[in-house]
Amino acid sequence: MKLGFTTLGCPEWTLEQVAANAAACGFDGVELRVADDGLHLRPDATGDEARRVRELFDRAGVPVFALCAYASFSSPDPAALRGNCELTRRLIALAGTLGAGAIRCYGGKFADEERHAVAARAAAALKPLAAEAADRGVAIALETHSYWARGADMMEIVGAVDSPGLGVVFDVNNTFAGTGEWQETYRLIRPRIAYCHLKDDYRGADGRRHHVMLGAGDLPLADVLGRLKRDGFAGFLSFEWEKRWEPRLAPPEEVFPQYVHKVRSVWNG
Amino acid sequence: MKLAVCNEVFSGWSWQQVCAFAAEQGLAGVEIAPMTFAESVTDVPPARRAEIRRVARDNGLEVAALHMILFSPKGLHTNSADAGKRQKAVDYLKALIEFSADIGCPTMIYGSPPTRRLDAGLTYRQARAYFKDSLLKCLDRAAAARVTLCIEPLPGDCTELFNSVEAALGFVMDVNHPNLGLMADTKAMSTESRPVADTIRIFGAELRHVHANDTLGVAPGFGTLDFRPILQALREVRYDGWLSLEPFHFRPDAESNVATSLRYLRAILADLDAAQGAA
Repeated sequence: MKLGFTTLGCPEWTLEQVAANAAACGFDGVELRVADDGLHLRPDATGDEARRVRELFDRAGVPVFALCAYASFSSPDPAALRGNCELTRRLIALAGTLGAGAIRCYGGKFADEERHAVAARAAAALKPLAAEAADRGVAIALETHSYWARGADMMEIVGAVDSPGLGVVFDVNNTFAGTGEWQETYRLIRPRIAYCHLKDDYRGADGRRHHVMLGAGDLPLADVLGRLKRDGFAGFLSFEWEKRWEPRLAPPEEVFPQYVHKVRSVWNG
Repeated sequence: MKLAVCNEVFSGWSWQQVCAFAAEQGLAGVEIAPMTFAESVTDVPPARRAEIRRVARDNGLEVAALHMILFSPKGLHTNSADAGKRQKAVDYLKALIEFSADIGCPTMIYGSPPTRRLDAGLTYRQARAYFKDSLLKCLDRAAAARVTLCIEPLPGDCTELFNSVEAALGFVMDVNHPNLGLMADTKAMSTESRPVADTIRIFGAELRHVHANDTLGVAPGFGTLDFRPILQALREVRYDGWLSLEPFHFRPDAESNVATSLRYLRAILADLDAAQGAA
């Protein structure tokens, strides 16, 4: 097992600070957020820029293992879907240059459509992209998230594409908090897991879900890590701390070391 | 759960008057702001320290904690970019630890927001590293004196370091010293994104001390916070430490506000006890 974090959790850090602090905290790698807002890299970053970033992280001993990106594949609007496919092609190239093995993407939202139809459309869009990604040693990885938090739903897309270029980011808490289960989803997606997102939250007295440091919320962390360990999971467990969206969350300087300590102590029993 | 009140609430009162009032109110302890005894505790001689301890004991009280510990002398700053200022703060923290031990007080609350602001040009990480280094220079002394230093999370308009219980806990866990702990203030917790009672339920097992303070800095029951779920959460996590009243503003006077506030809190506690008994 290796430890990482998405840079969604440290929006105030520069790339240099991300690399230095990741190493200082004891992480093994970084899931680098790539978004149009420039945190922490733009999808249209040049090859030279990407090479400099790769060198920065490799030199710090915390390589970029994944891109945390926002492409999605459910839109019924052909132009929007085409735009996401073009974005994904840029991300594949970027991941190749950065040496990242995976690109986190979304299945995407939908409204008045049958799930099967949406899954088929997404799979059709993803099939050629997955082939291109596989050729570059990269995998597009759809996150278990909202509409696609259940393993059976996710596998409608991933199974239809059936390519090493398409995998899954198992966001354990998205699945657990959103569906009430995680074991069945894990069983179904296990062969396709590119890496995992770990985060924790709880349902408050106000009825809302509140993010909280790992181990302090509702997530059955010991069960999850115990199962992954028994199954010989050797990939990244990437901490997703949603500081970018919730500025009042505790700073990464406090929760990132706690994450490393917590996961290692639970994992090692 | 033991009830206490902070002594600086009673402006101009002698220590004897504060303790007599606290005893009359049925409190178990008084929390001390050292600046009410001297600008620097190094100016409080051993005989006076012994007297502080004796007066509390004679009134059947414990000294629950020291707080507002670095409000004086001026110029103390534990995470300053200026090494000299940091050393001055460390030296004074050590003096406070000795003072605390001398008056029979086992806990020091580190709120004192002006002394942990970020100097211009420092990142959070740099300031945090300085802060950690300053505390580490004091904690073995605290261990020898059997005093625990507790970090008080405070809102972002007071200080940049540790704006939530979770952030302060992260720091405490990182330092990992038996004489460094966590405390919480109900007013400060009310500025966090989650309900106060939730924060207590999640992190209550880590709390060594609690300040009872309502919104706008008034006494519990005078602001907008509902203390029923707060006290219920403290009961649920089996918190058995101090609940210390720390109001800053009063109308018409401190003693009547404290007495009213205590009636409010005790009524809730009695209700909770009755409900538990019925269950």
